[in-house]
Amino acid sequence: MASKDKSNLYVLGIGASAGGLDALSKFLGQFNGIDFELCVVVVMHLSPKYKSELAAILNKRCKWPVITAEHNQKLEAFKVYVAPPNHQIVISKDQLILEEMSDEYQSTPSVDHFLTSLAKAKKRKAIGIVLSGFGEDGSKGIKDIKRNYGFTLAQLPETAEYKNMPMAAIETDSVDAIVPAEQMFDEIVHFITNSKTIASTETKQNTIDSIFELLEKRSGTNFSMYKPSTIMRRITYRINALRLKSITEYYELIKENPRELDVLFDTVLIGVTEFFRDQEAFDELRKQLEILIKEKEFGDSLRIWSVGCATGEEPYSLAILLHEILGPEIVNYHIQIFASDIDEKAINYGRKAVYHKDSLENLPQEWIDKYFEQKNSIHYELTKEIKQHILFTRHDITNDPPFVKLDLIVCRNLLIYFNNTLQKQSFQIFHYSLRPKGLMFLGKSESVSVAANLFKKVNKFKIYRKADTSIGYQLKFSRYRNKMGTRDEVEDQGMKGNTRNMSIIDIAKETLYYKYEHPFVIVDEHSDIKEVHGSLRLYMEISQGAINFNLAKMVNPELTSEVKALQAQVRKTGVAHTSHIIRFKLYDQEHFVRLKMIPLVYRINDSQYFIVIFEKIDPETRNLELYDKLETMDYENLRIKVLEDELASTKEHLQIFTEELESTNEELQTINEELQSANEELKSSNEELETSNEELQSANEELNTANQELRLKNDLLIEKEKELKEEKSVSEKNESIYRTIAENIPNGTVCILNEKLEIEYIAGQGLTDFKAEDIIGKYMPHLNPKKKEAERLEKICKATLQGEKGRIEISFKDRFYEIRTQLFDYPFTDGKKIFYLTQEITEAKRSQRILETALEAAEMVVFEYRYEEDKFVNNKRLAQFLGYSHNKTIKDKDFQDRIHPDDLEKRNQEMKNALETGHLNHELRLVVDDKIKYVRLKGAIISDDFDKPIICVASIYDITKDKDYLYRLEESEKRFKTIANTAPITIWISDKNKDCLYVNKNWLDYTGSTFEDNLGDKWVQFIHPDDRKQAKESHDIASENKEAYSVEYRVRRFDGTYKWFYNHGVPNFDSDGNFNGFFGSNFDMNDKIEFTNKLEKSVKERTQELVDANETLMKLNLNLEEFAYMASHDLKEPLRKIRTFNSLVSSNDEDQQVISKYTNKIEQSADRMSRLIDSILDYSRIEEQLSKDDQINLDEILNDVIADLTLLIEDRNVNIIESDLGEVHGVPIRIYQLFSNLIRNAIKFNTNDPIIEIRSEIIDASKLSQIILNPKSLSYKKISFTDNGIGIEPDKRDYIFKPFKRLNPKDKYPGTGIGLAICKKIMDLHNGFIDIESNEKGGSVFSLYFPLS
Amino acid sequence: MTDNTIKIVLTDDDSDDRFLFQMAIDQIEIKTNLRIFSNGNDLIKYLRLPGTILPDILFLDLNMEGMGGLECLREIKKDPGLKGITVVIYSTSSSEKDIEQTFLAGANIYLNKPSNFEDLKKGLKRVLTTDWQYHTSNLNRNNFMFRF
Repeated sequence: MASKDKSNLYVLGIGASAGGLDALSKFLGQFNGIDFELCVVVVMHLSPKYKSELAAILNKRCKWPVITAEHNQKLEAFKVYVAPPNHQIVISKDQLILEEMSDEYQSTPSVDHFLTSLAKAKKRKAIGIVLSGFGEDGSKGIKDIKRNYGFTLAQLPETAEYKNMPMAAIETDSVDAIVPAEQMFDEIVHFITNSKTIASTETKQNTIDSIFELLEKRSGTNFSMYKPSTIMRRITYRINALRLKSITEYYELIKENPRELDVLFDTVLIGVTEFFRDQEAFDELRKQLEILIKEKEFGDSLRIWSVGCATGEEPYSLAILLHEILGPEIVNYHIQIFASDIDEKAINYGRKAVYHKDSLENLPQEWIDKYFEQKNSIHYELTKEIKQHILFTRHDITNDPPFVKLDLIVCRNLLIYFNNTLQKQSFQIFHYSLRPKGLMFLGKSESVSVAANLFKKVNKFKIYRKADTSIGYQLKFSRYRNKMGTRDEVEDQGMKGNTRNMSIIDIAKETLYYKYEHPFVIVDEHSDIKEVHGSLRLYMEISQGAINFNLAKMVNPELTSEVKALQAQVRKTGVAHTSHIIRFKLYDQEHFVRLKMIPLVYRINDSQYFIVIFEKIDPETRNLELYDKLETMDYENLRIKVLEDELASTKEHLQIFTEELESTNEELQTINEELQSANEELKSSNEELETSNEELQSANEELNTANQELRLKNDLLIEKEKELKEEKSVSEKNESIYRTIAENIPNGTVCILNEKLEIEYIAGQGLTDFKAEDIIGKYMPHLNPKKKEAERLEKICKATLQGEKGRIEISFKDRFYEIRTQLFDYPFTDGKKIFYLTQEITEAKRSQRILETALEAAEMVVFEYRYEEDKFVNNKRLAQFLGYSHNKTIKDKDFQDRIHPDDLEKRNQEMKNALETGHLNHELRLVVDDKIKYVRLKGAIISDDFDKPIICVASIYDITKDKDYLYRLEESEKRFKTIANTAPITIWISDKNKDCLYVNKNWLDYTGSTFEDNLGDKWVQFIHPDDRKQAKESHDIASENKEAYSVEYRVRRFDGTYKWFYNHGVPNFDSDGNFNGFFGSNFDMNDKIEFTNKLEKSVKERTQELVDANETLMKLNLNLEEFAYMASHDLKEPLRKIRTFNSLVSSNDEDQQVISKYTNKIEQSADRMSRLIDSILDYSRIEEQLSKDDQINLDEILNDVIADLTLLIEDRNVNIIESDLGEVHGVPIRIYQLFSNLIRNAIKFNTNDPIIEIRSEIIDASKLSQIILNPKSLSYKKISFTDNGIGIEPDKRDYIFKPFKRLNPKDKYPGTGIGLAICKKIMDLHNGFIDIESNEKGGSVFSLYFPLS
Repeated sequence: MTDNTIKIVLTDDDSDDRFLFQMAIDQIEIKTNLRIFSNGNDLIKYLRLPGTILPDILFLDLNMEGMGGLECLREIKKDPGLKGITVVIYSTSSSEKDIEQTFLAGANIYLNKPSNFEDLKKGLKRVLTTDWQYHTSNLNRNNFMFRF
């Protein structure tokens, strides 16, 4: 809520864009002196890039100073401020606020921005102008200014360089004056002056009243209840708009110009509304609605009344809200939203349900998408679902009966325009209309204070609930109310506290009233007490039963009838009446009262009220006595008394009747009241019906349109029918044509089969076996007696049903038919049909058969090749022949594919020739299934007149077999010739006449002869004369005998030498077993034999060498291992000893003796090592080959050995017994070594005086089988050394020959242990053996075996 | 009776080796009782004699003529009465074959004849001081071979 601006400064905001400079200049040029405070702010769409000279330019044109606006600049009158570029400008409290704009915001409408702020800031003192320019900038600002009761102008579009901006402003309907720029200044001055005048002028009450009267008369709405200020504002506004000077003038205008009344009416109506006004309050409403709906069951109705709905945003908001709450369940409830307003125009607008997109600003996009349909770029329409719930109707809350049984009444920002009375009345109406616990939703600043008892507050958002009070009010709906009463009441209310305006009379009146001696009550027409003055204790009592303020009921019983009678009288006559004195008793006291009933001079709200005065009568004592006296009078008096009694009782009766009447009256009243309320209900129902009726009408219109469309459709249908009829006649004509054709098919039949292969239709000349009628409906394949044929037919028909065209030949009885089938769709029915055509081909078949048979017999394939189509006419045999499937269409290429690649060239040449000659005759190789076929083609080519070939007809004859034979034969001959000529033997062939047919190259080369030299008998000449006879004879005999034979003879070589040949002949029989001569061969024996021998020998030698080498190697290997081991071991020992003793020596500083002992030991060990090494060397050196020629004398060697050992022999007293040893093959040194070792051993290993016997003998190898495993010779020389030594255990025999192996500890019998190993090695070298036997006398016998020869 | 004297028997066919062994044993400060044989036969005969107090440790040379060390070892280990003797193979040879054979035959320790007198003493001392009960139970190929 903006604060009321106290400044008197009017601020004029101008917006302009392209073309605006010119208009602006014109406008400002008109500026002059004025007597009110005005300043101008110019907002132009300026380019940010250029330094604006706008202020300077305008300054020149305008009498007022024009300056560029600065931030926080205080506005002063009579100045023009220009907004600088790149800035947004707003006004606040007469100050300009500038905001720098970034370049991006160039398109921000700066005029709207300013004008809106202006409207807010200056309200009625705001003036807005929109000049020429592009776009819509300014239109919104203009609207805002108008809304805030400012003044707006727009440049007349015709005078504007660019119409867009002014036109957009005009379209908002918020522009007061549309004038050219030059006239604007005058308009403004006028406006301001008028406003001031009107404001200061006293508003004559009368005039206003009159205007109201007029309004009411015209529209039927009583505006007297509206807040005066509201109405006044509206009127003032209109006056200004019309540029009038006073309200009186306006009144005159209205009188003359009734249309202005409409305008005023429109203006008065407050039509400000929006969707979901006060979002928060609506949220609360939603909650309440949800609670309310929870208590509803499916099928219940939900009735809502939107009072003062204006253009309909409110009821639509409610509908949307309900949809949001209920969702799809909304269909389960009967939703009725009554939307009413006194403004017919607004109602119509609401009914259309089309809104500018600006009004949808408050709505979330989701809802807009859900509930609105975009009609065009700026307008949206509510969907049918929303519209269907709402019934718009014109309704005047002050006059018309309300809708009833409502769950919710929404009346927002309407009641604030009513005065209290109308407000109260409205609340009463709402209270009545609502269901128990119904809700009422008011505007933000409204309250129920005037009728607080009727509603309970639910929450702070102005939602109220109907309170359960009994109706204490009357609802009255009268159309025409006397507004005078209203005025009076106003006056009455005004008067009460205002003593200043009272006259003396008035004061006197007051005094009388207040000081009146008698108590009185003021009652209404029904005698209900309204006011009480004074003490009425005497006269009234509170009766039993329901509280009732009815006078008649409250007064003492004695007074009742009088009161009633009085009432009746006064009511009837309308004047005051007095009753006579009534006497009553109260608390045993008698009282007298006289009642006076006076109607009030003025009516209140059309109701008449009465004063009932209770005058207390104090009867004079005289009167009293009189009364008493009268009571005891005589008979006449008694009569009077009786009469009086009667009268009393009559009075009683009358009383009773009166009471009865009264109660009847009361009943009637109640009934009346009920009728009234019923009536009211009916009235409201009527209202509803009216609304429904309107709805029905619109539905009716829709139906009408639908009906129209249907009518059109019907017309179309009729046309269509006509067309169909025509088509039918055409098709009938066609049918008869087809029928004729079908029935006349020559030589065959035509037939239609259905999917089940049943005959539906059959006709044709070929139908001789059956009658058409007989076979219709029958299964077609079964008509053929042959099962196989029937099956074939079935198959082809089934294939046809799949879409294939069928074509087969079948036999039927003794005839042949060609069947063709095709699938087709029968028009107007579903289901496929087979079109089945037969043609008799018996004759043709027969001819074909004959031809085929002939061809088969002849093993020929005949073909026909069509050049233009490039295909061989379908020829199963050809296809088969070429190795294609017999369905294949064979083209020339296919034929060529089968031709042997080597023959292609030849074939092409042949074909060329054929084309020229017209005759085809050549041979060809075909490759079919990887087999080669030789064929001969013979035929003719038929060409047209231009020598273009049309057809080629030819036969193919398979000559493969013949060719094969020929080939094989040739091959065979060739092979034979090759063999014959390359074999290293001579080959000859003779015939059965014993004549030589053939000799091969070998023979010819050897003999140096020619082929002819040998034929017949002539070959004999080359045989050695001595051998000739035998040669020939053997051949002839064998020939007679037809047997194989062989003979050796010498054949003369080309140089005259003879060589032995071995001849062998084999008889030749042909396939029938006839003798055909001989096949024979000779070969040279000489060479072969020699060759063979040589070969054998060398092989033998080789083998032996290998064997020997192998053996040696093996032995070597074995020995080496052992040897190495022993060598290392035996060598290590003395070495170790040397070291050990040495260590003792070095560590020991003992005496010389000990040391020398050690050093001796060292020496000994070293010596031992040395000897060992020597022996090893000896051992390893025994490698040389035994050469053949070394025959050695053993005796000589022995003698040498003995000689060398003389010292030892003498020393040990050795006796050696010798004998002749003879000679052997051997190496002298080794034999020496051998003998030496053996003798030494014999001496060494002897405890006695050694006796050694050495003998020799020759032993056959066979006897040595145990000792010698592989005798290399047939006989051996055995040399034996017998001694008398310590002997050797038998099991150690082999052991001791191993190197380093000793049987005795070395201290006993020192030695290297290699000696015997050396002996063995030497014997091996000589291919001999060494062995030990034991001697019976103890000692050992060493035997050496040397091979002889 | 707590006699701490260790009874040793040596069998070696080499006189020098016997000499050296004796000298080494004498120089070790352990109370010992040494008996020497020059061949296997004599050894076995001696061991089998009733009344013979079995030695604590027996040193056997491998390379002996007649009954070799390995043969002796096998004999000893065959004999239930003798197999409890701790046998030390005392040999020049360091061939894998010999070591393995003697190990498998049941020798407790293999002692390579050293080329240094001090080493010999050290080796013998170690052999003598080893707690054979403990050592035997853990005998395996790795600690069979005595190394210095």
